[in-house]
Amino acid sequence: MSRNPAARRLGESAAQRPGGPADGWAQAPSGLWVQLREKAIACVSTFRQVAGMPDYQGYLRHLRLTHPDWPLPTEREFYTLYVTARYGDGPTRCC
Amino acid sequence: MIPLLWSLVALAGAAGWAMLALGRGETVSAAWLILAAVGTYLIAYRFYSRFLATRVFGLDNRRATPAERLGNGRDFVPTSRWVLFGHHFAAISGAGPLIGPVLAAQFGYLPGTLWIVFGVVLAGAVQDFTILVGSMRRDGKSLGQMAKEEIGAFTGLAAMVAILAIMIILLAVLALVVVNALRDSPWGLFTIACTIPIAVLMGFWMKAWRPGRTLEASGAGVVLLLLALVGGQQVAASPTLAPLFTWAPVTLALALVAYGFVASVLPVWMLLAPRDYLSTFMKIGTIALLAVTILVELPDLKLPALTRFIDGTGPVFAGKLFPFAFITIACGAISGFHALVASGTTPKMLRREEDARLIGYGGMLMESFVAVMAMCAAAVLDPGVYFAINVPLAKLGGNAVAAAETIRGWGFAVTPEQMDALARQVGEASLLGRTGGAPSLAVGMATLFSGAFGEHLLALWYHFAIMFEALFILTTIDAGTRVGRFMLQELAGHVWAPLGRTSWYPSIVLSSLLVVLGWGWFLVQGVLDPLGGINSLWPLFGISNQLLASVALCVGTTLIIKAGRARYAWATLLPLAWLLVVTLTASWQKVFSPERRIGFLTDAAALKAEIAAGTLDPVRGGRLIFNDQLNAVMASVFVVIVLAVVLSSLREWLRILRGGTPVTSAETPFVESAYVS
Repeated sequence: MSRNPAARRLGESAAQRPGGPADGWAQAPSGLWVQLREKAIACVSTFRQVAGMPDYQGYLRHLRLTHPDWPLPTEREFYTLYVTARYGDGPTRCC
Repeated sequence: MIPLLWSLVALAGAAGWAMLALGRGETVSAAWLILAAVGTYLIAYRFYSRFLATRVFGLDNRRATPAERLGNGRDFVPTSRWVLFGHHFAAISGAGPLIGPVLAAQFGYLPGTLWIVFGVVLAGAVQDFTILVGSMRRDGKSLGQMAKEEIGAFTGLAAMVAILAIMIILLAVLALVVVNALRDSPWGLFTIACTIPIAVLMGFWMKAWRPGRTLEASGAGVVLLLLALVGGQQVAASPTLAPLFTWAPVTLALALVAYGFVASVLPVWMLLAPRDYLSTFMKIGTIALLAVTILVELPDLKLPALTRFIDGTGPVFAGKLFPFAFITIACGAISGFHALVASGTTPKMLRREEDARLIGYGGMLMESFVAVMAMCAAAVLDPGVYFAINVPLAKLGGNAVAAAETIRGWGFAVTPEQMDALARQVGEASLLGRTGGAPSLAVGMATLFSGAFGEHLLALWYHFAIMFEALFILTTIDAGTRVGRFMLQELAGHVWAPLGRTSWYPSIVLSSLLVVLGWGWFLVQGVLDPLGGINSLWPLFGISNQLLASVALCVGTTLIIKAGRARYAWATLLPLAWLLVVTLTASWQKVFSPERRIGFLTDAAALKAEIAAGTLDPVRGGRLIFNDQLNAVMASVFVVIVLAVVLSSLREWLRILRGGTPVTSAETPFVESAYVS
């Protein structure tokens, strides 16, 4: 699927990073602030999907659901690997 | 109640068409154009796309989509239908639907509008929808793969060569549009040049400094872009800076070639991804703004419904209404290129099968509506002004006074003072002979926007519109060169394996260089063409895009027949037949027409005669002759490829319909979806 060999390797390495960035959200103050923040994250996700960019939050959700034992990549790792992969196959934009 | 509502929609659409068709001799409001188009879209979406979805494709929400079965959180992601609609629309719409209608406006607004609206309903949207469904049922396979697996290995290879050749022509013609819009325009060039450092800044922001803060980076990008737009005015006014940004067409062309090469070799995150991001939102935002402006203002269309140029004497491009109106407007009515996107990222993101109707058919209707708006923007200009901008200067007579005289001879009024005043108002030295469609579209859009937001902002709006077009053309050049490079590497990999390794640096550099030299050659040829390169390159692009659509429709027909629904194959066969008639006629005329402005070979012969008579420099003449011959070869190659694809498809269809041999199809077997139940 992906022309980027590094992208395929990522999921295979053993878990070594505790929690990953998801922990940051858990420590945020609760209440309205959290709700607003979640709304903002959802909004960013939507924009990313419209632009066809790989969506980090969506990927984390997917990993937690399907491969709870896999390590979660940091946002920086995710971006480097999958942005390249996205432009790897065929035309993404039209005339 | 509901049938009554649909009858009203149908009546409203019919009233729109009636007003457009019968309102001769006086100006018609754009309201009728919009009403006719939107009424037709609604009826077509409600009835025809539903027929396609249920009868022809048998879409079934109980069947799991690739996004559900293969979900990996990255490219296979079940996505909300409206988000995916936005994504698909942003991916298929580009400069094509904006520029084609502006050029075709030389025939008047009616022929172009009819083709845009009825073409999309019966052909373009059907093509996109069919290929999207086909790819969705085959785990998101590409058009080339489907051609190979469903028709044959030869067809797959032919489709791949066709895609590469079309990409070269597409990139050349889009680059030519940018060159014509930016030549001798310090304001425009400064703004566009600024988009490169802005994109790089955003790239580092999103990758290194604050990973994932995409909105932040995009917000900063948009603010910087608007600052660059305002700054451009200061640059153009400055006696020291203005000459630095006043470039001749050939210099600009070479700079674009260099840009394309560098952009294709750089890592994606640095330039392409942020630029893509920025241009996606600029595109959606500006198109929404244009729609609101037209709906609020409902301007009068000053262009006649039909002009005398339907006889083939048109000065913007040569050739009669048939077939050239249907070639000139490719995107917006039907665009083969969409088949590549519809078999790319989109099918991997569909959450449910029935969503394909909104996204495939509906997304293309939306693109067609963009083309209708572009037609409106061209038609609100005074016809005299429209021709003064869109006809090459050499044909206008070389200067403002002669141009006014020439245009008066065609029956449209324009004065040199009027053109001077307009150029000053938009902050350009001159608007005469700025061919390619983008400048006249920008004047039209600026007229609409400033009508709504205030006259004194005309210059800013003009340059905003130029920036908006150039921004996503540069994105296409960047992404297109990269895709061309991948395809070339894949083809070269068959010859010598290391060349096929997409991450091997020598192979990257070599193949990128070959791709930019390919489109760069056609670009420079277009810049140097005395008749204005648009006259030869745009039809070539239109022909190639429509021929790719023919390949897509062949694949689509095969898929429908293989699914056991041959009795509905007319849905793709009728548009295929029409496209073949149009494109084969147009290619024949472009190669063999005895009229010099149309036929490449006739022009070459005439140039030879001029050299023999001593009226043309042999070196320059020799180059022009070579270009004519090259264009003729390109057009012929397209025709040969497509005829080969059509014939091999036909053989496959007959084989299936005779029923002797078992039908093999790569369609993925049914898996029950978890979303329903």
